[in-house]
Amino acid sequence: MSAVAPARPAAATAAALEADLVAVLGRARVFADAPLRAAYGADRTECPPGDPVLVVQACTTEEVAEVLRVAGRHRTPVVPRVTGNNVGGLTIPHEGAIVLDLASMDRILDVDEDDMYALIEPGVSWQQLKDHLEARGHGLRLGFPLAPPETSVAAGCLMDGLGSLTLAHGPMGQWINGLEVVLPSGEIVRTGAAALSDSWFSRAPLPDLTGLFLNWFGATGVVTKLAIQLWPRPALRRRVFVLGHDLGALFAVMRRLGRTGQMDDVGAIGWPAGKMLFGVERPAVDPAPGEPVAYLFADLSAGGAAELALKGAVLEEALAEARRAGARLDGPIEMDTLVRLDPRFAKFADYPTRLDFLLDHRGGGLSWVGTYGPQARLERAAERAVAILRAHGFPPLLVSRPMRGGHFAVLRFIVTFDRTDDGEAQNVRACNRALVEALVDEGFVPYKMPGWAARQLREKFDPGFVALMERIKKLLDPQGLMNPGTWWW
Amino acid sequence: MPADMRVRLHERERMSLLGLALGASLERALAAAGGADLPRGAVAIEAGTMAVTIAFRGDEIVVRDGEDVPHEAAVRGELTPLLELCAGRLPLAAFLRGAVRTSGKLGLVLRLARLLAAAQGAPVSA
Repeated sequence: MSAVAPARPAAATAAALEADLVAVLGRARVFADAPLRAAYGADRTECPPGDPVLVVQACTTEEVAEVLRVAGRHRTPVVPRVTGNNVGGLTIPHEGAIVLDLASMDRILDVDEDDMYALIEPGVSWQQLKDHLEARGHGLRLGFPLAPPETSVAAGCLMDGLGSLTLAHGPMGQWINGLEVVLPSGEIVRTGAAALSDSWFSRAPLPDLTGLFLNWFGATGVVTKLAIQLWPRPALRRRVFVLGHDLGALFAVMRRLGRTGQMDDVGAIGWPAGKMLFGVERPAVDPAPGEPVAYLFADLSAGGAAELALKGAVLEEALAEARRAGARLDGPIEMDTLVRLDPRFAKFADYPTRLDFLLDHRGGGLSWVGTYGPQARLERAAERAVAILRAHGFPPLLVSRPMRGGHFAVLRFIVTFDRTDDGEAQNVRACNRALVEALVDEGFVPYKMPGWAARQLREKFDPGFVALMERIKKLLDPQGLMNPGTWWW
Repeated sequence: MPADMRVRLHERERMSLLGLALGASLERALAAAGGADLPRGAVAIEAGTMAVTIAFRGDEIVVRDGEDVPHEAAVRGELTPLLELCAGRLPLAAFLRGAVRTSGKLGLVLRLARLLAAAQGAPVSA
């Protein structure tokens, strides 16, 4: 299947499209003015901006269905979007597309205490859901990504991101119990147990049709409801940092802690993060002499002090064992010590958090290559990636975590840059392409895969996988109108 | 204290996290301490594998990575108790078990600790 990329509609056609959408949504929720279109046409990444023909806001499932029917009649592409913070260019519209803004669909429809899930609309944010749970005294919590608090819970889950509870519960796609989806035809379907039950308790035991909409980035339909798993909120929580001077040793500790089953979360962050926290926008590409290469963080929680102490002992034993094996580790340092040292460390103390040093800087550009892959190859993959980043003049801002009980790991590299500087954007593009090539070569698979990466890697995929994806796409979206530019369409 | 007293980080882009954190603490301390009598001289701090020298010179406090700058006092030891010191707490237990050691002018170290404690809005505490 080739990319669709329909041309921008002629003026008369665009006027007819706009009139039909106004008939569905009302004048106040259909926008054609250039500044607003430009705002919806770009994101923080190095990906070139697009120019949508219209931006529309839907408030209900039925409105979404009507918008898709209108778009189908006019053969106009549709790009569903909430806040556009995916950092992969996944909601940059093709020329002439409609951007379907779902941010106003922000109702928390249900919280089921017994089966521990929340039923939400796509516009619900991480902060909103957290506040809702706390304000109503639910003894439940959710996992959080390292994304701004205002970003969408549903989008994060549907793009299979990672978060503070992915060590225990897997990537966010696995937190989904079921979906309500509007297909490109305008038909409405439910997946998961809710296809038969009035409870959204699980994806099991029915055929798992949720997967038809997970990691497809809106190319098969628009999700209008999502049931997300929640977990009991523990009474006590402790976060510590350990400074590591050898990435291999730090990964080894991370792997060991990940499989103890005693940590809520454990991971590694590259040394540039600390400097950027203190306002150094462009740290040098090498650490200062004697400076750690990465910080290991560990989250522990418990119902009582004795349980927390036991988990602390597991952590200490892992660190002691690593030191006996020759690792140079400083710490653990308690979170409150760091916050006393400097209040800015509070950004790492709780979720959701806004890491403004990644967002509020000269030019505002943010991009990454994030992958999931085999833990045994973390060191080699990281070594290659760090060399690529240095060669392109970027400090190695690395993030790694063991996932789903330590069965695999995430390895991600973040760059900040000046979006207004074409040379920098080109350098980011070249760097990201080299990173993708090297990491895939090591057996890692990009997540939230940008369209450019999918096309770069197409020949490396199993041909049967590509063919099946294309058949599914054609079955669900025969006109090829849903979010062109993602994957191979 | 001179009215325009300021903290300067030498080669900020290459400064270690310890230097950046201490620099930020000293800025907050200057703002909080008002006209307090500042230390005079230079103190080297070696925390784990990171080393920083803080020099009080005229109208500025200069923070540099490393300890190859002339200094009148030094504090060396494990990172964790030294972070406590930098956060305005005297880690007495760490001193007693030898995890933190001082050399040179102890009074200068104590005055620096008091200044850093001012960044927390509190007197230095054990």
